[in-house]
Amino acid sequence: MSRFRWQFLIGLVLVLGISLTACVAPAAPAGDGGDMADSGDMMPEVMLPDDAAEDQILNVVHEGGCGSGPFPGIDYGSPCNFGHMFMPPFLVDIDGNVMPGLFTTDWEVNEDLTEYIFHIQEEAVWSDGKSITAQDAIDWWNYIFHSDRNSWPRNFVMGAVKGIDEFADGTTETIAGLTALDDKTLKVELWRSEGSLPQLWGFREAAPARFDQYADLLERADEFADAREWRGAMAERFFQGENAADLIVSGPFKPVHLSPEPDAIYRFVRNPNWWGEPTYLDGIEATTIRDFQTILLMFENDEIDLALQLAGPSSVLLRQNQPEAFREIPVSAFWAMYFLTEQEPVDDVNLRRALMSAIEWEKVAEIAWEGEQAPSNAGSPMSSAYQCFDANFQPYPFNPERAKEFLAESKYGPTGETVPKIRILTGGSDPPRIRAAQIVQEMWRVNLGIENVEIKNAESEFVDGEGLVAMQVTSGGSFLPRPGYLLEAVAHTRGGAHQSWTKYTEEGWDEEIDALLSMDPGSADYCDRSLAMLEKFTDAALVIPTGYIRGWYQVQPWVGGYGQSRISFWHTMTETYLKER
Amino acid sequence: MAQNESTAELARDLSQETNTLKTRGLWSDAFRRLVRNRLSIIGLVIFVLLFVTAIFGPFMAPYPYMLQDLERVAEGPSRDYLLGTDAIGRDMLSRLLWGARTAGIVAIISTVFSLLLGMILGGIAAYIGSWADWLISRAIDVTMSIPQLLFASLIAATFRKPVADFVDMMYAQTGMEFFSTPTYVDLVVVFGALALIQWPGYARMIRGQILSLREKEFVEAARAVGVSQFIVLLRHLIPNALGPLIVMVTFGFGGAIVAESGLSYLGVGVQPPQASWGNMIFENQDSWRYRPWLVAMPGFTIAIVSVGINFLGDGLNDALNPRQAES
Amino acid sequence: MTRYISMRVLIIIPTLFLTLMIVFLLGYLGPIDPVDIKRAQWAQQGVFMSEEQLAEERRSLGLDKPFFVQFGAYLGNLLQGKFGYSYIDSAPIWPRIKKALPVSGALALGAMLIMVFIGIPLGIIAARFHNTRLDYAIVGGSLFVWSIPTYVLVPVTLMTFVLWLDLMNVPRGWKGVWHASFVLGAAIISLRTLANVIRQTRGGILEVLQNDYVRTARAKGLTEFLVMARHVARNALIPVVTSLGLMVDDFMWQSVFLEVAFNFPGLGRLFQQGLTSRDFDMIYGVALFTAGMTMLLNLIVDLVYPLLDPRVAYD
Repeated sequence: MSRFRWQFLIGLVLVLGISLTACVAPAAPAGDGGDMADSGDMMPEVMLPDDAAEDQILNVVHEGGCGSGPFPGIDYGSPCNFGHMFMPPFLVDIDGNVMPGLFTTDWEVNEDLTEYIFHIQEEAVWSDGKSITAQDAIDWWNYIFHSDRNSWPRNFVMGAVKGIDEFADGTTETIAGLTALDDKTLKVELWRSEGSLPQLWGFREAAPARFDQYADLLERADEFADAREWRGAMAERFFQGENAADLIVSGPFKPVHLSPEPDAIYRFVRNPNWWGEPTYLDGIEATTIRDFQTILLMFENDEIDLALQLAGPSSVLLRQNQPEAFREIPVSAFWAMYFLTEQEPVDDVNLRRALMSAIEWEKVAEIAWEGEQAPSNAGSPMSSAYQCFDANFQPYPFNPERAKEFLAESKYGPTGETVPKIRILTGGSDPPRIRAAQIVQEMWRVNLGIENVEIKNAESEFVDGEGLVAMQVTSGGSFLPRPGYLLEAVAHTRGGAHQSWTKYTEEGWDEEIDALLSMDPGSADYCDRSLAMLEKFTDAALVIPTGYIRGWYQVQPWVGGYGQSRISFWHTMTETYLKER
Repeated sequence: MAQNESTAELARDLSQETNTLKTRGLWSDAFRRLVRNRLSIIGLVIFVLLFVTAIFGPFMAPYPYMLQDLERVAEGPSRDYLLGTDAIGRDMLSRLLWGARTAGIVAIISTVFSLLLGMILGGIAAYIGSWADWLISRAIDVTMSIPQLLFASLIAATFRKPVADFVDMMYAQTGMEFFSTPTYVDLVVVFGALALIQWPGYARMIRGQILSLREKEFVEAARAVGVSQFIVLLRHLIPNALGPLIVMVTFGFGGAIVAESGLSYLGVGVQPPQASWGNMIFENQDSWRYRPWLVAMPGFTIAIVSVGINFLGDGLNDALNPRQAES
Repeated sequence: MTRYISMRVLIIIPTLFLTLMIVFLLGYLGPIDPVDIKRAQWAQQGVFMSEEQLAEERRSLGLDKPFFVQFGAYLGNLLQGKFGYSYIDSAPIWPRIKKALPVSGALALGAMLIMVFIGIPLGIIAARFHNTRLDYAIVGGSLFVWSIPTYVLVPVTLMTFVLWLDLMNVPRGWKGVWHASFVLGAAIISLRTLANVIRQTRGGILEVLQNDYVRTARAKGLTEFLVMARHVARNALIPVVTSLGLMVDDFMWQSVFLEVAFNFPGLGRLFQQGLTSRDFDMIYGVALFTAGMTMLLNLIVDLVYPLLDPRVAYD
C-alpha cells in the first residue's frame, strides 16, 4: 500500500516537471514594433529604392544608455543619437569633409580665423513648423552651457568663442562672441584663431534645441540645488515615456516614446515637418542592452538591423562568421599608458625610451584585443585616422638591443635588476586593458630583465597609494583627427580646461602647438610642422600607445544606404533603408 | 528547531554533563555515521584534496602562475601545457593549482574571521542581554538586509586603501619582508568583505544556542547552587554548539569559494596577475564562445569543490545531529 | 501579539536608516564616482576631460560636499518622497523602481513556485530514499547546479535556447508572466536556490520521521500517506519557510546577472547599471527597496512561523 502512494507522488512530480518544461518549450518569437505610431498619411510619398522591404522600421541596439533627449553631454553616442532628433550645425563625412547640416557650408571667415559668419538653411524649421533662427541657436547655447546646467561639451564646442570663460564662471549670462545678424545669419567672434570651428560644430553636442520648451524652469531656478537637479527637471519633461512626443526637434526623426532603463524603449518616427530630403525609414526602434553576449546573440539570430558597438574580444566570433557586417568608425584615439614623469623611476628619459623599445607592438594588439584593435605604429600616438598620418613615422620600433643600450645609459641601469619598482595603474577592470599591461610587463621582463613591476586596478590599491604611480593606463587622443588637437591633448601645458595628462613640457612646445592650432589645416607646411613637433614629443618618450582604438558598427547585409561619420558617432540615417531579406 | 525540548534531549545533556567517557563515544559514533555515507566520503576526499593542493599545489605546478608564453597563446592541451594556456599564454594547470591556494586561504581565513566575529558578538548578545542584545540583533538585521553583492563589493572597493596604507606603515616601521608585498592586501580585503557578510549567521546561531541553554533546568540548578553561570554556560555550550557549528563552517567554506568568484567577476576580488578561480573565469569570459575550455576549467573546479564541501557538510549534519541519524 | 508585531514593524525604520547610512558611507568612501565613469565613457569615444574639468563636474553635481551634507540632502529628499536623479542619464529614479518592482516581484514569485513544486517533492523523495543512489543523484545534482555561477549559467542557457535549439528569440523587454522568457528566467533563478530547498526539506523530513508522534501515528495504524500528509509534511515545511527570508538576497544576486542578459526591466538590472556606473542614487534606491523587502519577508516568516509550529509562540 505504502509503496503505491510513493509511486503516485513521484508520478505527480514528473507530471509537474514535464508541464513546466512544456511551458518553456513552445516559445513564440518575440515580435514587436508593430505598435509604431503610423504617421505615413501626412507624409509626402517617398520613392523607395527597388530592393526596399515593405517594413521600414530600423531596429537598433546599443550597449550604453540613452540620455535625456536634447541634453548635450549626457547622451553622447547613445541610442537617442540614432533618432537624428537634433541636427548639428554641420555633418562631417567619413573622409572628414564638412557637409551642410543645420547650417550651409558657404560660411565666411576672416584672414586670421577669428571671425566666422554662418548661414542657417533657409527652409530649416522646427517640428512644430516654426522657422529655425540664429537667435534660437544662441538662446539654446546660452541656456544649456550656462554654469547652472554646466553642460560639459561647452569646452570643446564653444572653447574658442569670445567671452566663454566669463560665461563659464557665471560672470556673464550670455556668450559674448555670438551675435544674430539676422534670422538666418550668425556671427561668431573667437578669442583665438581656430581653423576647425565647422568640424567642432559637427559634433552632436553643438546641435541647438528649443530653449522655450525649458524657459519656465528658469523661473523655478531656486528649487534646483545643483546641475544634477536641473538636468533631472529637464529629463522629467520629455524622458518619461509618452511625453517624449511633445519634444520639438529639428532633425528628420522625432521621438514618440523615450523611456530610460530599465525599460530602455526609444521609438522614433518621421518628423512631419522635416525640411531636408525625405528619409526612407518610417521609424527607428532602439534599445539598450548592457550585455555584449546578448547583443551578439541577437545579431547572429537576425533580430536586429544595427548594433553599436560590439568591439573587443566578444565580437571575434561574429567577425569570423560575418566579416562584412563590420563597419569601422574612425576614432582618433589610442589605448595609452602614460608615464608620470615626476615619479621614480620613469623620470629618466632613457629608461622610458628603453621601455618603449622593448615592446613588440603588433603582439600587444594581437593578444590583448585579439586583433580587434589596431597595433600602434611603433609607439607613435598618431593613428591612421589622423590628417598627416605617416606610416614611416615609427619612433620606437621593437629592438631589444637598442632597448638595452637605452637602459645602460639611464641612471637606473645598467641592467633590469637595478630598476626600482614600476607601478602601473590600469584604472578599471576591463580585461583587455589589464591584459595589455600584463603583456608589456612580460616583454620588459624578457627583453630588459625588469622584474619589479606591479599592476593594479585603482590608485587606492597600491600599497604606497597616491602619488607613486609610475604609469597610468587610459585612452588618449583628440576629438578631431588633426595633429594639432592631438598634440594639445597630450603635450600642451596651458592649464585650466586644456591641461594635458603628461604635464610635461619643454622650451617652445606650447608656442608651437598654439601655432599649429591657429594654422589653416589645409596649408602647405601644416603636416611637416605637425610631424616635427610630434617627433620632439615622442623623443621625450611620454606615452606608450598600446594600440589604436577602433570603433565598430555591426550592420546587417539587408541595411542599405548606411554611412557613418568621421566624428561624433553620427550616422547618415537619412539615406538608410531596409532591403528585402 | 532549537525550541524543541524533548525529554530525550534533556537526558542527553545531563548524561554529557556527568559522563565524559560517553562523550568520546558520541564522537566516534558520529564518525562511524559519517563514514557510512558514501557521499560524505567523496566530499571528504575532495575537501582533503583541496587543502593538500592548497599547500603543495604551487610546488607541483610546472610553471610560475604568471609566466607568459607569448608565442603560444590560448592553446588547447599539449605536452608542454597539460591543460593548455590562457589568453596571454599562461599555463592553465599552474594557475589552477595556484588558485587552489587562493581558494584555500580565502575559505579558511574568511571563515575564521566571520566565525570569531559571530561567536564574540553572538556570545555578548546572549550573555549580557538587554541593550547589548538589542544592539547586536539590530546589527545582524542590518547586515543581513543589505544586498550581499552590493555590500561585499562596496566594502572591497572602499577598504583596499586603508588596508594598503596599514600594510605599508607596518613595512615602514618593522621592515619585515612579509609586509613588503602587496599581494596580501587583496586577500585581506576579500576576507574582510566576506567575513563581514557571513558573521551574522554564526552570531545568530551562537546567540540562539546560549539562549536556549539558559532556559535549561541544569543551568538554573547550577546557578542556584552558586556556580558561576558563565562557566556552566561555557561548559555546555561547546558540546551542544559544536555539531551545528562544524556543519555551518563547512558550508561557509563552500560559500566563501563561490562568493570569491562572484567578487572577482565584478572586478573587486583577488586582483590579477594573482591566480584565483574566480578571476580566471572573469579574465576569459569574453571569449567563452570560441574558447569555452578557458572558462570551463576554473568553472568546473569551483563546481566540484563546492559540491564536495557541501556533501561533506550534509554528511556532518547527519552525523553530528543524532536525532535524525538512524534511518 | 499586537504589541510584538507593532514593535517589529517599528524597528524596521531605524534598521533601514542604518542600512542606508552604511551603503551611503561605503559609496562616499569608495575610490570611484560617477564622474570617473563618465570620463571613461567619453574617452572611449575620443573625447577627453582634464582634471580641472572633472573637478568642475563634481562640483556642479554636489559630489565634492562632505558626507553629512550629502547624506542629509538625500534623506531630506527621501522624506519628501523623492528618490533623486540618475547621475548618468538625469532621469528620476523613483519611476524606474516603480516599474522594476513588479517585474522583480513576479520573477521571485515564479521562482518560488517552481521551488515549492519541484524542490519540496524532490526533497521528500530524497528523504524517502535516504542514502540510496536516487538520494545521491538528487542532492548531488542540485548541488552541482547550485555551484555553477549564474553568470555562466545564464548565457549558456540563452545560447542553447536561441541559437542551438532555435526555440525562441532573445527576450526583449518585459512580455508578461506567460511568456517563455519569464518561465525560463524564473527557472534559472530557482535552480540556484533549489539545492537549498531540497536539502532543507530532506533534512526536515528525516528529522520529523524520528519523532515520537510519528511513531505513535504509525503505531496507531495510520496509512503511510496520511502520516506523511498530516504530520511530516507540515513540519518539514518549517525550515523551508524559514529560509524564504534568506532567499531574497540570493534572488538579488541571481537576478542581477539574469535580468541583464534577459533584458528584464527589473531591480537587478537597475542595480547592475547603478553599480557599474557608480550611479549613487540608483544604488541607494535599489538597496533601500531590497533591504526593506528582506526585512518585510523576515517579518512575515516570523509571523507565519507560529501557525506552522504551535510550539513557538510570541509573548
